[in-house]
Amino acid sequence: MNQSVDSIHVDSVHADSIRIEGLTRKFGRALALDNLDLSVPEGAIYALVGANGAGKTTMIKLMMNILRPTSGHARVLDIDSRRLTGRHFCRIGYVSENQELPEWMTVGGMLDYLRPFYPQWDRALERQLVRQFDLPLNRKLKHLSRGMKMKAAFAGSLAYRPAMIVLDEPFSGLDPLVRDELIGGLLDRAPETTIFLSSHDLAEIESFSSHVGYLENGQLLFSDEMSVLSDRFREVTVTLNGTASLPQAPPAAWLQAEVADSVIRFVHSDCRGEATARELAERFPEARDISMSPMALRAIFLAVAKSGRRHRESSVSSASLDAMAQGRTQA
Amino acid sequence: MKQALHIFAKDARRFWPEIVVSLAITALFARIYPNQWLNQSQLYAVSGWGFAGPQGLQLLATVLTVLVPVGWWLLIARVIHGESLVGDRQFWLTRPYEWKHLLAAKVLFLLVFVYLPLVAAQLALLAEAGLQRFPYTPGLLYNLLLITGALVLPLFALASVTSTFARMALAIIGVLLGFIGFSVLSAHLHSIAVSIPSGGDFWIPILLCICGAAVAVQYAGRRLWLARLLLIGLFLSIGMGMLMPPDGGAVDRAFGASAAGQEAPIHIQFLQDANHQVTGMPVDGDKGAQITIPVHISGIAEGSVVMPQNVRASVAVGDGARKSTPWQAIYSLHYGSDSQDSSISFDMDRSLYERVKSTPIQLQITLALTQAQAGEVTRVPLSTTDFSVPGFGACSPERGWYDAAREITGISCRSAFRQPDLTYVETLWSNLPCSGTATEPDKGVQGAAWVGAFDTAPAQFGITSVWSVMISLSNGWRYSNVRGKPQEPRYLCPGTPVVFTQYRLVRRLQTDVIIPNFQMPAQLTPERHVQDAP
Repeated sequence: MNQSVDSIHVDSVHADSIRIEGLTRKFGRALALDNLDLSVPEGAIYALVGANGAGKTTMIKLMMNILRPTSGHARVLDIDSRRLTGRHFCRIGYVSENQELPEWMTVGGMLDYLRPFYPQWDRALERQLVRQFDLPLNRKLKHLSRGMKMKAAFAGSLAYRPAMIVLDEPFSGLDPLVRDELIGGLLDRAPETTIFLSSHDLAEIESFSSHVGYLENGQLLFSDEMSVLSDRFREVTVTLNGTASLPQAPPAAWLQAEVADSVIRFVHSDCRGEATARELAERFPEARDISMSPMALRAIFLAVAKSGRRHRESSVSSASLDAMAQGRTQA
Repeated sequence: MKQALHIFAKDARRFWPEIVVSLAITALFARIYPNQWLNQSQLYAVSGWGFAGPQGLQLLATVLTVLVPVGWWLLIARVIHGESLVGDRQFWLTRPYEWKHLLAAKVLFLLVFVYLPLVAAQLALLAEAGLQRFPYTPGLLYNLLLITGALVLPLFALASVTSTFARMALAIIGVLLGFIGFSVLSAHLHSIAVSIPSGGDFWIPILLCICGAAVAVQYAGRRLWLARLLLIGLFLSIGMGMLMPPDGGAVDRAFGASAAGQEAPIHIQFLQDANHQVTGMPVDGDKGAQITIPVHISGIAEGSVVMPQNVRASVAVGDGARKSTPWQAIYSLHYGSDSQDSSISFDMDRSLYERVKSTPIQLQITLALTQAQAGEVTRVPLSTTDFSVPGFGACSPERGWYDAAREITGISCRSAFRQPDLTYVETLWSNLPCSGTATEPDKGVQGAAWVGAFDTAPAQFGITSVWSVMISLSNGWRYSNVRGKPQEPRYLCPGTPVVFTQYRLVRRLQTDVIIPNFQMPAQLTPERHVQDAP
């Protein structure tokens, strides 16, 4: 039972907790993940967003060695995911919305059962989590609400202070109160761990993620630090003196460009502060006013997804994107 | 190991209802199964004539021999599916389970809740049968090996490649239906069988290896399709094995040809006179012909017994060519040192029969023989209670349920883990009831029976550790010449010596009987069922 955590080789040179290269997974003929590259730095709170069926769960299961990749590889805590075995999970916490729990156990029974598996299990932290989540220790898991089950799963995955926490749609279908409690519990651990979570609800991850990636139809459309993403995207409004018209060949960085009377609006996806302001002033010398407003994550995703759909004839419907952006669970 | 014990303790807590059910079935089996070896009079004594009469108890005992493995199936399925190896949502997949410890926990669970109760039940049965003083350890271990290979490990392997009890049940039903199909097809394809010593156990190592490999690849790497392919391959291999024609080569290997100059242990002479006729009858739906040839048996050394176990016939069909039948099994034929008339039967293709029936031919009959030599002789005075026969088993006097005087009318025996080695049992019948007094040993009618067989394996496959030994002594009934007068039983009187002569295997060999100018029967006569005249 006392597994040597020291024996797990971790190359400290690598600052990335997760490094994925060329990861591809097919189910029969269906391509679930297509040549995915991704890296998550140590200590990050990385949110992988995408509509249902985008490939988020597949990607996480490949990372956890629950599934095997068709090609490519993922390294988790500098271990090839295909070689992840029991002892490595002493350093990884995993919670998934569709994971089967030992429902015949009580909450206390489950924690008692899990404790001996983890040499670094922190009893004090366990008690704190039980209090924080208000967990009924004597209640069987099968008799708990969905929210309570997730809280129990969180407690069972945080109490051993894992170096990495992987969460697959952890807040899906939970009421805001439970969601906030879980996020609170998670953020308490954030300083000592890397958190990777998937979600189709932008609103729930926007407030605390440090990094974000967007997956669509098995392809990662972008992956960036949240602050960089916020700086990079600006909603630009150019007000002209006369009737406006779009340039013949607008730059590729302009998304969703539209014209109304004397106003041109677009999303600039590669904004570089003053340099971009000068560039716009040169392009629109007759402009009465040029404004560049920061964008909410939801607006950024909508712009990227819709313009991406326009270009790639993506199968993702705008309705589903809207739903994703609004945090609704889709059927 | 601590992790294995931790998982084991969890499983024991979780599956206690299944454990209780399985233990209860096993305990009931140990309690009820002894009724299988009680004779009718004892059964009536313990059960009376009510609803749960003797047949009911024996039926229950038979049902329990099926229910015990069903209980194991329940346990194995539940405990393996507790940490299912199929699927991608299981709780344990992302926990620090080491596969070796997980497998060890499951094996430990089976040892404690399947094997330990089984061993306890088997020891209890041995004690109940009066066999506790016999050296049973090799038999016990070999029996557990057979049960592991034929039952527990296949169930374990099936559980490891299925996700739920229902899916496993479907898989088992599929396997059973498959084997039934293979059996039906085999019976349709091959109407004959061969007798090979210890012929069935060679599947056990194959089952152990393949099922063990399937379990190992699943636990070590959850390579589901590799494990499933292994099991499907095993199933198809067994099925194809069932469809193969009987292995004549195995007979040739087991029964070597006589060395040159070596005298055959038996003289077989074709009888050709008015009293002895070659007969033939159609078999296998008129596709075959069974030819029966009268022979005279002699030349068997004193103290020896020769058992023909397979026969093969070969006929000349012209131009120097010969046609042979495949090897065919002969059952329950024992030739002792006394000369006697007997017969040899073999089946041949109807077309071959039709081709050679009209002209005299040279017929060569090859017999695969087992020669045995009398060894230890145990003389036991017939007791009114159970008595032990060293090296053989434990026996009981059998009292006829039809006999109000409760006279002894037979002997029934039990042996540990398998049928005993070949043994000749002889005693003397009394024509009159004994009324509790011993009769003079030399006054009476001899009753004798061959029991047991040569089998080098220390155990036969079975849940039970006790095998009933049927001793059908000859001359047990007295027939009357007076028409309408019923046959009357003979009796075994207490104190009458019962002699158990155990035989040891000398050799297995082939011997030829060549009959020149043999004339096949002109026509095949269907077997007639004789009906008494009114």
